Amino acid sequence: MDTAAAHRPRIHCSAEWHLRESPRAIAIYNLALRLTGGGKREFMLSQPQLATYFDWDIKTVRDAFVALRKTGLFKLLRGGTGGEGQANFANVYAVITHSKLPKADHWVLPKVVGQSEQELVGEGENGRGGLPENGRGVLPETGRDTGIG
Amino acid sequence: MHATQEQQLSCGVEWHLRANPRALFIYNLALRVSKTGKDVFVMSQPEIAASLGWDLRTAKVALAALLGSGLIVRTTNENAYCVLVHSELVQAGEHTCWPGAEGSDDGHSRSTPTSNPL
Repeated sequence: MDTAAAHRPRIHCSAEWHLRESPRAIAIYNLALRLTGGGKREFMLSQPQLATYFDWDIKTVRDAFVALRKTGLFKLLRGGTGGEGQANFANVYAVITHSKLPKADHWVLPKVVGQSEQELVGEGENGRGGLPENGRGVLPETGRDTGIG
Repeated sequence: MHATQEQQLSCGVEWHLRANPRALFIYNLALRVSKTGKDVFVMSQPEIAASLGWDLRTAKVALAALLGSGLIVRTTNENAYCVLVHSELVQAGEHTCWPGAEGSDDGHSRSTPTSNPL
């Protein structure tokens, strides 16, 4: 067997594919998944906070949030009100895992004879595709890779 | 309404790759392929480019950023890499983490009130 082919990963749809036009959005999504335990908690960091953290300008962060909301990976839960009335108080978002996105939005490989659709459209939960969403990959706060030193 | 919730901001791989977020695509791919670093990640630059739908130059720049971060380490095989998770990078002690974490309880994160954005 071709060695390279043996190591070549099967390509499945993933959050990265949905955010392929906005690399900075994937960085924010990575961070959000890590901080929220894979989307189990709400995500609450203001855009100025993120701009400072990543050392990006605020417009870049805003554009990334637009991409995250357009793809459905971030869902606005509550607007930035309260917090002593500060204008840039953080909005509250639900972090949506790739597996919860509508299937119709997923990228599907050209179908190969003998392969089922289930095999072609990957999901994060089984470790075959997408950002790790179940504690098995880059983001989780449990297991071998805590992501936090 | 007065919000009292806080988000724990901490260092992670995305902070180390903030200057070239595309490198995160390769890193996430490498983590999946290597089973979170248990195996060696073996893929040529053209294969990485093809897998991610990038041109070769973009892939090379992102890969260079990823190598520079220390999150992957090239082995004796030019196309094979050991993949480190963030905690391993910290243990190696060769790369600086997010300075905002300094002085906190665990030395690596801090609580940032959302009502007081930076």
